[in-house]
Amino acid sequence: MQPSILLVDDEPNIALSLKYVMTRDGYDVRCAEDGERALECIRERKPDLVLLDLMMPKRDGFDVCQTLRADPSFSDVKILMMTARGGAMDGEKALALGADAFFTKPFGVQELSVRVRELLGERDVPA
Amino acid sequence: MFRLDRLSLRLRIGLFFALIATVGVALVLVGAGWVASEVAPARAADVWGVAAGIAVALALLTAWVALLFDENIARPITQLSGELGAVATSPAAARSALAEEARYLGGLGPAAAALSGALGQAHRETDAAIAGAVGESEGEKAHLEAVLRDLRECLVICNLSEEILLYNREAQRLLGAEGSIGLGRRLNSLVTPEPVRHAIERLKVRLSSGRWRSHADHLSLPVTLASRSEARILQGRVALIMPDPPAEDASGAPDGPANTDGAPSHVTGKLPGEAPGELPGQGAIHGFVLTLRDATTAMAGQAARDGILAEMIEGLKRPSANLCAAAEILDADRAMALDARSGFLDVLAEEGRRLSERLVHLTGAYNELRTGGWSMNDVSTEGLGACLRDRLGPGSGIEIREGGGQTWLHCDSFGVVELMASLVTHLHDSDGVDCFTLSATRSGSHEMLDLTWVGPVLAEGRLEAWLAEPLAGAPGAVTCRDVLRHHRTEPWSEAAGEGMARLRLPLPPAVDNHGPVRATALPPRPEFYDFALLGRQNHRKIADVPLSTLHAVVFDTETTGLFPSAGDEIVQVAGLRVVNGRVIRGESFDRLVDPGRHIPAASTQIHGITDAMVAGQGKAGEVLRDFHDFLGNDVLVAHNAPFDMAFLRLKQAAVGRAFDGPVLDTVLLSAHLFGQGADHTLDSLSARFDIGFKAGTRHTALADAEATAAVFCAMLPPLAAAGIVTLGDALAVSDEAAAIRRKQARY
Repeated sequence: MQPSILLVDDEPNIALSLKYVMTRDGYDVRCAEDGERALECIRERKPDLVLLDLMMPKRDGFDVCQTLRADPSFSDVKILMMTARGGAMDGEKALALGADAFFTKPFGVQELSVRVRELLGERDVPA
Repeated sequence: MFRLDRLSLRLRIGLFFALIATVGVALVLVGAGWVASEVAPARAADVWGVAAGIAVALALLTAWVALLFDENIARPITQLSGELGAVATSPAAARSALAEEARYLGGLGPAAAALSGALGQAHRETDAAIAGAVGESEGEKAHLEAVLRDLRECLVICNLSEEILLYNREAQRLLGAEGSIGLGRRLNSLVTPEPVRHAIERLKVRLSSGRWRSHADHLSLPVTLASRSEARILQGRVALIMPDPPAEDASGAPDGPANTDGAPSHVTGKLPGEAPGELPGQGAIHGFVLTLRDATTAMAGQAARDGILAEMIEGLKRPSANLCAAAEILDADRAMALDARSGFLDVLAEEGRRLSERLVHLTGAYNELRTGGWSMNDVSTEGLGACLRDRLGPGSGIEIREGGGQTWLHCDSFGVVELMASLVTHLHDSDGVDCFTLSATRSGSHEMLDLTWVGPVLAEGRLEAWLAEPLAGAPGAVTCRDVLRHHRTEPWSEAAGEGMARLRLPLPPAVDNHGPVRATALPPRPEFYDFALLGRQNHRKIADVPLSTLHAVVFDTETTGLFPSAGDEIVQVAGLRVVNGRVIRGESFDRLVDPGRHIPAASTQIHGITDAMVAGQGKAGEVLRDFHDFLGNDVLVAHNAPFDMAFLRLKQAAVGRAFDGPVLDTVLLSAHLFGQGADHTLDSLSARFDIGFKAGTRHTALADAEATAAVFCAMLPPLAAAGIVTLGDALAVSDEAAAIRRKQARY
């Protein structure tokens, strides 16, 4: 079965590109446009990886990440966080809260695609 | 001509009685002669005998009365007048026992005693009033000194000749490359003076036009200067000192305040409060106050910020214009041929990539910038803990402990304490947490400030909500978020072991080194000012400078031996500045010198300086050049100066400067004051003037320079009493004393 990815971003223009690339790479892609909706989607059906934007309305990316990591049943979900924010400490905080990778926008779509494959590969090895 | 009134009172009274006796005896003898020759020539022998007896008795009686008179009247009068004279010159010595001595003088004694007593009382009251006032002003002076000392602004006060009258510790730190700052020294040796001069000229114009009254900046102007020592940019203000600014009504008078624009020499010649030729309301400019702070970092930060902004606008404009053009064409002409289309797509890809690269670069540059404008300073975890406890107050029921060692951070401590207080209070109020441990650990390029407590991790959503609240005591509508933004940081909460949680806040490490040894300690109350310099006269010839206002450097050297011409070298040189008869302890020079040769053990035994101590120290040329800078135009003073000067002059070529100013020698001054035969060693002079040595410091250059300086200052009053008033006088008597000593040495 193809790995599933939940794309959480409130900006449709980047969501369009990311959804295109992930679908092209053969993943089952769902989309959510805010943190609250993202948690609902994850609880409905657990994805293998969450592509999580930091700045979003309602619940932000850090909040979603921390909530997921607080629930042991989601411990095998990979989290890749992304942000356009300039703060030097955001990456450190994301990793501290349990994210597996952190990307600062702008980034190359190809680069992201490679990292997603790596993360899902890591997951597959022990399985 | 003989004047009877020149004689003492007692002698005159004695002479008066002698006159009575002489006249009495003469009358008796004349009477006896008449009786013996005219009345009873037969019994002439008897008559003469009786007459002689009467004459002798008369003389004795007169002598006895004279003695009594002398004892009880003449002598007490003399004594009383002496006592009254003494009381008049020194009322403190007033005695009330005068009445006893003058008991035969009627009411004179008690009256004199009463007068003397009243005078003494009045004197004691005056003394007490003066002592009280002096104490009060001393107290105020101490407060002012403490304020100046701790002021973090650099403060320099100068007279109009640009001589420094006052500077504070910060000025010494910011401007004072060793020895360059000092009382009476010129401002232009520290900073570029042109902006200051320009500002003063502008202020004079503002003053004479009367515009200063309505001007928001009154009599001050902002200046930007460069320091001489290390190209620092200094920003601050120049303000004129006018103890007596022109009165309101003088503003319209054409010859009113305008005359303060006169020649500086005219103005500086006056002492504050001593302006005899001035009409009321026409103040004089006494000098100026210069406040400065180091703007080097701020200016660099500002420049970097401007650079980023300019790069942002210029650097992003072009790629975005290229992107827009290509996208617009692709959008408008969808039926474009495939090969033409791929060209435009390449443009999109390339310009997009370029835009991204620019942004990544700019983000990095932005994060590198130190946040300006906010009062960022170094603070220890201990200090933060204490402030946090203080902020929460004793009634909060929250305990703050410090864990781990003391760590120094660089932050806006006020903002960070307010932020922590807010979070801690929330955790206490909503989760019942009442004890937190504050600690910091190094993590990469940052210090991780942690607040640890027993309980669950703080959820991100709640943290975010709390951070959005405004800070209680902060100016404006500042939130915790704003504080975080200024620090370019982001806090989070995570588990910290068994049932524990912590809040982590990455902060930059301290800028300064906060090890146990801090910068050289300055004396608690340095003599960094002398307002007498406000009225300093510009002496055309240095010889005319009064010793009491002399600027001197009292110095001493330690050497490898006694013979400079035979290869002995300096190993230590120290000097202290003496200004207006005061030793300025804050301004000293104390350096070891690498003599470039072995120091004989016999010499080490005297001064305690070993080969190891001087290894790596500056050579004589370099150290003496710094000493020459320290000296400036001041007069050199040394004990047995020819010895030290021989070493200095031998090194002039290596120094590249000449020590050719006047030199005073405390040995020669002592020889003039106390005679050639007296003991002129530094020890005996110190004992004579009651100057103590710190135990065990004798024969270090600085301690000997200190003792010499104290001796020199103590000599000034007796020299003045002996008519040695100016430097020229002192040099002349020194020459005489030296000539005598040379003559004596020949025998």
